[in-house]
Amino acid sequence: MSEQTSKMKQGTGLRIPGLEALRDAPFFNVLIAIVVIYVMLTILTGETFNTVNNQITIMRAASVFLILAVGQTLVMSTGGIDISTGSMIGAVGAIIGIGLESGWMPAGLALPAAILLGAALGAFNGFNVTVLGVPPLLATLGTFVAYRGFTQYFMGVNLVTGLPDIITTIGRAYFLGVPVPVWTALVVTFLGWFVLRRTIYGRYIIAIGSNPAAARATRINVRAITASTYIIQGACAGLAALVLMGRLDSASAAMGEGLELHIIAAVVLGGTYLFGGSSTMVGTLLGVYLIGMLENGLIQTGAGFFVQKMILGLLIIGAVALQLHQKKKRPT
Amino acid sequence: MTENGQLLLELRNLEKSFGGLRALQGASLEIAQGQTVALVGDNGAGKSTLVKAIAGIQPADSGQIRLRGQDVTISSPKDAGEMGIEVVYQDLALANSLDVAGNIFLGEEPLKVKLGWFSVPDTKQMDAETAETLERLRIRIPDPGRPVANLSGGQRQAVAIGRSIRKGARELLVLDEPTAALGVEEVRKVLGLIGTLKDEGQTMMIVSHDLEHVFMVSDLIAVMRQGRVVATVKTSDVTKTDVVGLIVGDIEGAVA
Ligand SMILES: Nc1ncnc2c1ncn2[C@@H]1O[C@H](COP(=O)(O)OP(=O)(O)O)[C@@H](O)[C@H]1O
Ligand SMILES: [Mg+2]
Repeated sequence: MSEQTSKMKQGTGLRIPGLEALRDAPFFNVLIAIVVIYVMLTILTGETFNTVNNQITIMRAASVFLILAVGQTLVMSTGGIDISTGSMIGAVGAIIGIGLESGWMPAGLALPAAILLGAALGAFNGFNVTVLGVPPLLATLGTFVAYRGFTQYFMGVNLVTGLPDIITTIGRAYFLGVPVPVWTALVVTFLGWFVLRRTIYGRYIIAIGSNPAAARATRINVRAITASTYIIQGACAGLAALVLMGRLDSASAAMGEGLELHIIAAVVLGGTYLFGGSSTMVGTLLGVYLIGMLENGLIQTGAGFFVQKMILGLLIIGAVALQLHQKKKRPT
Repeated sequence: MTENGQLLLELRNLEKSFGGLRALQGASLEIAQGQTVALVGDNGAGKSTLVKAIAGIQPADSGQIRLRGQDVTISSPKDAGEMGIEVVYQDLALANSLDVAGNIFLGEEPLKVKLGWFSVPDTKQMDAETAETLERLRIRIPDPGRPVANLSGGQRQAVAIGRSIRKGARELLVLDEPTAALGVEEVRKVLGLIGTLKDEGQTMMIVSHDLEHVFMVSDLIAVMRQGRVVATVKTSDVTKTDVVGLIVGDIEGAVA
């Protein structure tokens, strides 16, 4: 394949090293898609799309998705998947929300408690996948239903509102002109990138997704590492739950419903291979932005919620199909 | 290392059953220091099962393994590794997305910053040691920084062997079908690599179907039939026809 590309590159007669590296990047597709769709939406909305304020709105809405997508990228690197993220948000929101309302949860503890609670829910997923051997899709489909069921049982039709300042700050405040949730999401993304690209943990999850038998033949503790990605995904869901509660200044049993597909679409669109072994945190960041921007733009062009859902669903199929097609051409 | 010719590994009466199927029925074999022993036999003769017993992947049900005269128990790949026994498997067990150094050091990276799982590997040292290993084995890989998915079958085999060598197959390197599924030129390279190792004094056991390759690299040929080693012959004393006879059972073997 490298010979072919170099021939093609010679053919163009134009060689810009930075551009070539970019074209080989797994997130090249999503980058092109962003540019094209950005221009289209700017034209379609008569420039209301292309404003700083609107871009900040997109990013603020996308921050919860980004936090979750970072965890999902790690899970998918191992060849796993977690579709229980929305339900984990619901469950964490319910417990923290009720805890704050009834007074047994000090406001200052809400953040660490939410992260730990999420990690515990993720640990259950990790246990089911690695110890019981339930395939990830089904293990997390099970908790997708079970965690939501728990949330509805626990909260009923209650709506917790009037949350403490600490929490609304996390969800609504600005720092240097940028919403705090966006900062939070960027910090989480940077940590995720560092772990994936710079640590042995990142190497191990890629090795596990790439060739589980090869990983097992080494000293890598495949089970523990795999399980830990679900725990990290859970912790991300806990953090995301608090950010979402802060932004809405409320918690309800429906919180987080339906966002799991968003996350998976964003990660796959970003260039992370659905079946593991190859992933990119930069791609995930771009994938989340792409979906956020599409949603925002579609609303402005007058397309309704249901149209958005249809497009999102088709986008996932398209992204996966494209990925499988490219995979065939170049075995990475 | 101790002197050549000294007895390194003794397998005595290894037995292994899978349900009613007796895959090893009292297999015995001796390997001396510095020797290259080829293990041949028909499909299902028990070669892979014997390798897995030595590698600790599937310990034998009964029998003894002695290393340098000491009785040893090998019940996991880790045990085998600690004793200096490394196995390169048939299926080229590499992680496709990692580069050459990433594969050679997988699970045993030198660390720049120690933080448990979140330790940062010392990629400079990894690259340098990888270059050294490749040079020592006379393997040329133009761009070792790319994912190994881009490598040819022979290069991948070389990386797998390099991994075992770097880990230190101090005592024994076992290669299961190292030339299977490779092109002609690549076979030549892998055989060359085996020759290099032999010159360095590496003790090896090579499982192979290909008698031509077996005759090119081995000092001794051990023939397996129905879970037993039925003959061990000096490669220079026999012809291919003899070995084929031993494999199918037309010639009754005598253990040399
Ligand atoms: N894990 C296993 N379970 C059941 N039978 C096995 C297993 N491994 C090997 N066997 C059987 O043991 C016999 C020897 O197999 P093997 O050692 O793979 O032979 P070879 O490598 O010489 O072709 C065969 O009949 C094979 O079917
Ligand atoms: Mg075999």
